[in-house]
Amino acid sequence: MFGWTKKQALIDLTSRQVQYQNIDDGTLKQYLGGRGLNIKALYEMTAKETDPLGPDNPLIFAAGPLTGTLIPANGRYGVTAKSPLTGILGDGNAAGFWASELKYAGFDQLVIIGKSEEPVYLFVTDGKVEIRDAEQLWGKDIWETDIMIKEELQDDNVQVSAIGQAGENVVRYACIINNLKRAVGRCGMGAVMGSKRLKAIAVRGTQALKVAHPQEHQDVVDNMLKHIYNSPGYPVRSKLGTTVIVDVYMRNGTLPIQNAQVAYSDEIKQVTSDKIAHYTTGLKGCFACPIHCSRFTKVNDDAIYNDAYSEGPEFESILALGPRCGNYNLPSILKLNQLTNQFGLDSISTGGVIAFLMECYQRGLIKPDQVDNLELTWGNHETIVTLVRKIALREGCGEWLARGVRRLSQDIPGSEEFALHIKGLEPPEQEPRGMKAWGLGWAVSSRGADHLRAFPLAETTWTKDDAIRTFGQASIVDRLAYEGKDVLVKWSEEVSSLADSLTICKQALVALSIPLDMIAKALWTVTGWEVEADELLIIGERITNLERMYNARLGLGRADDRLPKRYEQPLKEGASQGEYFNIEKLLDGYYKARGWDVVSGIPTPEKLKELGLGFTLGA
Amino acid sequence: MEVKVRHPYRRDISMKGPVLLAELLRNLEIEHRDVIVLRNGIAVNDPHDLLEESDTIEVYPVVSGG
Repeated sequence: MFGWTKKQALIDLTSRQVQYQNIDDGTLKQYLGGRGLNIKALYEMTAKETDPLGPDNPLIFAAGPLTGTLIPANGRYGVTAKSPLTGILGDGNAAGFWASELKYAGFDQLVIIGKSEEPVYLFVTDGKVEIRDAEQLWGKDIWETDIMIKEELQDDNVQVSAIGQAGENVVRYACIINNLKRAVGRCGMGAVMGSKRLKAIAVRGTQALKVAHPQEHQDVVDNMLKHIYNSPGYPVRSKLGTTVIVDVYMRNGTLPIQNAQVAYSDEIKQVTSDKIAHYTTGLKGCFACPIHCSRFTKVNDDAIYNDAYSEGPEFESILALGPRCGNYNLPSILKLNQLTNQFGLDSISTGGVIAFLMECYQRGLIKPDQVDNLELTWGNHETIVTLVRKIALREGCGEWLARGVRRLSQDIPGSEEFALHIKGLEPPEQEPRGMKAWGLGWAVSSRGADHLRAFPLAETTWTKDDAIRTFGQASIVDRLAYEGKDVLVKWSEEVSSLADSLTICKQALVALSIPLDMIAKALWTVTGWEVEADELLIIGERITNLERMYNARLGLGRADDRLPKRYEQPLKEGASQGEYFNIEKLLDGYYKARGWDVVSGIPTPEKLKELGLGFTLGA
Repeated sequence: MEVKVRHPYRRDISMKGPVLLAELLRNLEIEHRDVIVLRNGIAVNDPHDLLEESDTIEVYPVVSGG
């Protein structure tokens, strides 16, 4: 088969040994790459007792079979480890230009184990991995690190994936960032990297990537580009990116304002896409991507934040660092986006932690000296900036806040019902009371509260005709209805697992509805492997089930598929007023649709054997 | 005023301006929550915004996500 390099490097930072191994065709066909290939390795390499911050926790990077080809939007890679924030499966993925360079350097996957005594970085180039001294990089932020590595290697084409001070200081929601601003955001993968004293992975490759059917490859690329350019969602995605989602959720009344106490406020009009457009200086696309949904922003008309500039912010960062904390000061949000990029912090969890603390402060549950006597009033953006620095550097109360909402709540009696996390992960910026499929997706997600595991866009973007054609139910597109959301979430999870394992961006595959038979053909032109669209969905199902079994081995099941109590209370304002979320209306149907045991929420032996996951039985 | 409607189906319309966004949507029989309206490439969010004769208006289906 072509497409894959079929090479994995196993890097032991304790012994400083590197082993080069082949990945067999069967494994590649069953798990593809990225998220799928990584969970297979994580399942095999860890046990229930594995310490997420210990040397035995592998940190696994992988590209996909389409990475580095001409297929549109193929530029993502996945990173997986046991999460130090949640204690369960952790992973994230990012776009940019790092993944294609990894393929050109000759690898599908890097598996990093052990722990270095001194700071190091990896230089991966043309079939070999070098472990290099990083003493001079330790303490630098991500932007400085990127520049210094390129200078040291004397090559501006090197692609760098790195941690900032947050990762070095093992903040449990530290992220990994490549190309300065593209984040492997969730679950604290940066903390795992920091615990290994691994500052960065620089990649540079010059090896050719062969495809099986070059002429057909060009044809399918042409067809995919035509599909993308003709998609009704393309113009908005390419002009405004994810910023426009603020506008839509404002009209739907599905915003998590003030730690999800409020779903709509007139003040939100200060951070809608037209206001962000005022600061936008240019558009940016990732490798082989015609959508270019990312933007650069710069502030030059604000007394306090006139030096703010960065790529983004995306929708999630705008809401997390803004309205979730009661903050509508847009220049401060752009500055906070810059700081989280430089320090290497997950903006979603960072905003979640600060908003939670603000509510504790509002309710008188914490004493001023617990937060360095800062004024934690809603919208106090100067306090938010100060807290971001303290968290990244673990200074003062930052030492406490670096632990995440679940651990903080255990220290603050009376905060349990508004400690917003699922399985230990702070939620993203939707409001599930007004988006029922998203609520179910959060609850059953294998990495905790997260929008990208299911990513059920159909609920809010498809037409009734689309819904009836695909699911036979018009209620799929009624965001307030429960009916049909079990099968929608199951299907959406399969598609998302597939996208994350092919490492194709969901902003293309899901948001612009690239047909799966087109994806199957693309995979054939690259690899020579003939595969049907239905088989691709089964691969997605296999990966989802293996992730479920990884967490089941840790003791998780139905009782963990819950949303925080707050979401059981009706919304008081906005277009979703009166709505609340009842997970019990959805779980049985979801488990049945999946072929899982309804009582335990665990896949049945029959389902596991059907998917080739019999090896997980009795584990 | 040139209005390019891409939802619920594709059509190009010429309308007399100025007109309020709310009035435009009422004439098109479209709910604001079902669409994103761009004026010269930038989203218009206030139904009371006045769209001028010289503006180019584009109406697209909503996006979602995170």
